[in-house]
Amino acid sequence: MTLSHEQVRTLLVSLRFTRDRELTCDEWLEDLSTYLEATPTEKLGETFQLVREHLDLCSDCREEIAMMVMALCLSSE
Amino acid sequence: MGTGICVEQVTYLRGRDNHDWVRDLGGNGSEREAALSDLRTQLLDRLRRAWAGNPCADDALLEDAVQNSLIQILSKLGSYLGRARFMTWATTIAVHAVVTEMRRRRWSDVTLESAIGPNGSQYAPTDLSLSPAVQSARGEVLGLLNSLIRDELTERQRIVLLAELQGMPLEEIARRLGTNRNAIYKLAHDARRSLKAKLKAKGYVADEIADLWTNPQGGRTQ
Ligand SMILES: [Zn+2]
Repeated sequence: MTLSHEQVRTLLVSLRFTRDRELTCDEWLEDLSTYLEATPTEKLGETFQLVREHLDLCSDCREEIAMMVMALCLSSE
Repeated sequence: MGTGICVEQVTYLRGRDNHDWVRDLGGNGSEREAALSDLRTQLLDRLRRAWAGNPCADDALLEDAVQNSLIQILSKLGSYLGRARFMTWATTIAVHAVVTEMRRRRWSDVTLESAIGPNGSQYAPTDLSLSPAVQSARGEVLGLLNSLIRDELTERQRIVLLAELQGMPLEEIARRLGTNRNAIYKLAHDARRSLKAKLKAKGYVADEIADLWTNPQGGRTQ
């Protein structure tokens, strides 16, 4: 296969965000409802660091959270 | 005949709080049936709002997803800890069910082999509009990445990494490999950690080489 310019870029950006400890998608989903209800300040805190880092890495979960924000009529902060 | 109203009517009038939902769904008889019916209605409203105007998410798909979600919600009721509102928690489960089904349909005709191609990794040629120094640095990194993906990853790590880069959702990769999404995430994570460590061992820092693609004019080079 031939990786496109965008795919090479995606891979290198994902390596940039790769950590020893990461949430799997299922672990992320378990924490999501609490994250969605947190204030913008709380979302940026240590409690949700792994949740935020997972979003940096996982396009599947970025797609899901966008739909959840619409379903719940939340702001997308 | 008195003028008082029953518990069910009070719940209907003020709406259920977290505790009411858990009690009613975990109970028996008419309270449980009423709670299930209310939950179904509210979830369907939320899904319709989120997917309004999307022709891929027809009402039959949304109704099936809600039905599947109700089964999951009932089976997971014991794990709901009350840290978020019950309806927020339930909505995350329902949205996940819709997204999962839409991905399954979108990728139904795609095999892993066709997604990742038969010949292993070959990278696209570098952008000729860039300076010779950046082109050369990119070429060096691409050659190294290519060989690390080919030689240093396990077969399953390589398949998962390449399929994910092709945009295949993890759940769909898992379905094709006969495992679950958690296991696929762990394979992808191991693959990324391995590539990052091998690059570092050869003197390349992931942050710096990513700049060659994200910020090629001002990026740091070795
Ligand atoms: Zn994820």
